[in-house]
Amino acid sequence: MIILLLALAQIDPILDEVWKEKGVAPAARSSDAEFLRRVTLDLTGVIPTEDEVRAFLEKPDRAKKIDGLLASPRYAIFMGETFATSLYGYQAAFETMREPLEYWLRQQFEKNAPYDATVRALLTASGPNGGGGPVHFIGRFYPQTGAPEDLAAKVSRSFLGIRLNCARCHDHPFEKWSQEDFYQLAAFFKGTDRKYITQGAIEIVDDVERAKARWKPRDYEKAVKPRFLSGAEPQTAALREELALFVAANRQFARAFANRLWYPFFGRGIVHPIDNFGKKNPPSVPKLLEWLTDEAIRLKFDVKALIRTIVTSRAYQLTSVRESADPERGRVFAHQAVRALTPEQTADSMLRALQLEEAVGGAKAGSIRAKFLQFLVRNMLDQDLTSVFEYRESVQDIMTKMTIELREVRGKFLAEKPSVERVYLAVLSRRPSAGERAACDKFLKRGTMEEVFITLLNSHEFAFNH
Amino acid sequence: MTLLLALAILTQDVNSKIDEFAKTIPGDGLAARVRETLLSPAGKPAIKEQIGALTGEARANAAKTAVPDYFKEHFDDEGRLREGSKAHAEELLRELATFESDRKEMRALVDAIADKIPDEPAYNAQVKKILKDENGQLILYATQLRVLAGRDEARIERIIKPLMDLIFEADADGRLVVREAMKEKIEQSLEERYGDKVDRVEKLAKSLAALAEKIKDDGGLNSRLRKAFASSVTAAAILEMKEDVDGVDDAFVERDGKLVIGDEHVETAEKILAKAEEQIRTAGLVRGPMLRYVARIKDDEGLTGRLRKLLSYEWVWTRLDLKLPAGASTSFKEAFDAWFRTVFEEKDGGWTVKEAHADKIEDGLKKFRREAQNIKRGADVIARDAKRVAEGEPVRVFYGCLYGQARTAEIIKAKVEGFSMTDAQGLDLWIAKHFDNGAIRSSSEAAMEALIRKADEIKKQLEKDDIGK
Repeated sequence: MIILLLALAQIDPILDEVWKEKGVAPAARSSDAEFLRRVTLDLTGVIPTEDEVRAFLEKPDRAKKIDGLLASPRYAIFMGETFATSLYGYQAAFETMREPLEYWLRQQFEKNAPYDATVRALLTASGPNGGGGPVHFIGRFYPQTGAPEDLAAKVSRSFLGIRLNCARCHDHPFEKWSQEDFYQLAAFFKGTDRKYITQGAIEIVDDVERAKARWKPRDYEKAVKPRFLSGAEPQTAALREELALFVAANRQFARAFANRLWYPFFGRGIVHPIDNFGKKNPPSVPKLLEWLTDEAIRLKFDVKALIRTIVTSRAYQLTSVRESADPERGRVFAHQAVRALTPEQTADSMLRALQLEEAVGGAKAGSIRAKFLQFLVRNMLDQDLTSVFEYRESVQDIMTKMTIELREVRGKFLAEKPSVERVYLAVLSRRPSAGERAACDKFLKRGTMEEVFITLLNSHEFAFNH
Repeated sequence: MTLLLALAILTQDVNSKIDEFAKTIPGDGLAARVRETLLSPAGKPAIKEQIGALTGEARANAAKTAVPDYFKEHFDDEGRLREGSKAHAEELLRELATFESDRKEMRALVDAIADKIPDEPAYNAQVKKILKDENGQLILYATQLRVLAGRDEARIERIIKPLMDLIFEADADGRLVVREAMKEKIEQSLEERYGDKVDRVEKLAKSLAALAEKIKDDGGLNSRLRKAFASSVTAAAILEMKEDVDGVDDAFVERDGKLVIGDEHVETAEKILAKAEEQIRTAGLVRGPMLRYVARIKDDEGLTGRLRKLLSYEWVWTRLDLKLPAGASTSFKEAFDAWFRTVFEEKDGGWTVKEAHADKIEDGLKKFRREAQNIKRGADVIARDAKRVAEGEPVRVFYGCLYGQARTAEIIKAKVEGFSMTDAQGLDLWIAKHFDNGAIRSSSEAAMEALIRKADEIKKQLEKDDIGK
């Protein structure tokens, strides 16, 4: 408890100091309904149920709610899904699949495995794709033996927050990284053999002889030896093992981790985008980033503990309602951000609002969800989503199309002929204001409750986390 | 030890196994330093390098002794077949009989076309020579036709296995169950792709099978329909091509007490047959391996049991997107025709190597000759070791012919290529090499010092700069 209080005492004093320095007034504290919807979406990927809203508004214990959500099975499911999107994307490629990786990640979050251990397991994964999850990460970005460039770029982006892709063809124009740095990092995978077993089957193995052999990249003029960005050089032929150590032991890893965890809760990283650390893109609040980095190290990369530290902060619990649109206030987290729901959050929240999961059962609900996701994600299926989770389609366009689909799968909720208050609680996780109630009553003289429901489902308030 | 605990140890990652072992190393001095090193993060790459070297050696040794090992595995010191190898020997003899029968058919097929292949351009004559030559036929069979004719079940199994490995894992009893990771995906996939389709296909398959018995066996289109309608694969194909299936019976008219397809429906029937016959061929190719897999899947009340049932339907096999070799068939004649038509084209009433192949044919022929030499070399090695098989052993005839020798070499090569050793198995080797009853062997002290040195070096490297500065 004392440690938690110490942690609490840090995020907010640092931000207070910055706000004071910049002459920025922080937004007010969020309402209980606003907080509940936000934190439930952020920790479990779905809006709260009608009953959960009622219970919380009755007894709004925020700390208890946070602990409850972190302990719920949906936390691991959502985190597994979110990290799978970031690490893998959606589209199956090169004899690998997202699902085994996502399931493995879910298990990691379920047991709250330290993040550095998770990353080390990802970087050193080996074996056939028919088995383990992490192999699908390596296999996805390592399309053929001796071509580790994509994997090196992905590793530096995902785990170090550094975009090295520029240095693939020439020295980085704005940052300190040279082309040689890039290929020296890639050389850590030179001993990795992607064995093609047969159609759809591969095995990732490390070969000592291959690891010791000279490696000349196809698109670089000279042979290179493995050397990490810090200058650390491997001492054994277990190159990936050593790379995993060098990555996870570097302070930049902790920094990138802290920033990655901060990002979804505020809609922007302290360094933003989160995979673009560098001199040209400094943190908006350097002291906060360094403190969070220290905290990540002190907590031994305990994911839940760091998340708890973030969401129990006053900053996280500020309202997103603001009087001016000054972007500087957002950069220093003086108000909460309004963030588009991810495709998964949208699909799950719609299913929950309609109580469809209970109505049609797991497989059918899963099938409806998959259909929506396919539709929502569509053009982004094969994109690298290292740094963004949110979709960029026109929200209104998507919502309109989705509600057309929804007419075919009405859940039991609408069949119960709910009241206006119930519809608001189910869709927007709040009670209607007096004005809204009056407007609905007026509308219902000629319209139906289903139309009210569809209208709320189409609203920006539903489509965003705020 | 409970089963769960045993499973947990079997599945734990190698780093935990290293830690577990390190904690059991007793003593001070070098032993204590090794213990401390193995428990440290920097010690892990150091030991894994040594493990990697040991598994590499084991792999090389396995390759060196693969041929004698094969014969030792199946025959005792007197060259008598071991009891446990009976099934293997029977399989080899079955395979040889199939080969003999296919080769007979191949000779007839070649005889029928060889005279129609002109000797110009020169490569035509060369290909013709291979086709007519006994050894040429054998090599062609071994390298291409065997697979196309579905005779290589191991190959088909290798195509199916990755899909099964992704979906299933073995439980404690060795039965296959759906992987936890795949449950959601499979549930969705069953819902989306099969839903009520199973009932619809099965219902139609029953009515088609009843209809098939009434169709005239005229040796032509009607016979093909009769044969196709007897398979549920055709029902699935029809459902996919045509939503309204109620009128299938109406497409036939009665003639001489039997049904024949109506003239106006011939075109549709041909379309259905084109698709159905191809899918029936596919089902035939995968039947053996698929049924073996299905038999291994646990028959439970849940998702695994449902999937088992689904995978027992032949029409489902054709929808698994298995990448089978183009032109593959269980009929040798069809497979030979498919191969022949990829190489030859009709010209001036005869057959000539396709013009499109003209610039590649020389390379192709060179490759073929190289393969022939390799097969011959491999066969010679087998022939030497096969001499130890006792006179009177029925399977001796397999090892005594070129085909059998070539196939044995192939079987052994596949085994060598499939050699794999997990890090955990490598760790066991490492422990056995360097430790005796938990204590470091005196002969391993230098190796342990090297291990510690490496780990110390790694620790120094870990102290290098914060790259984010």
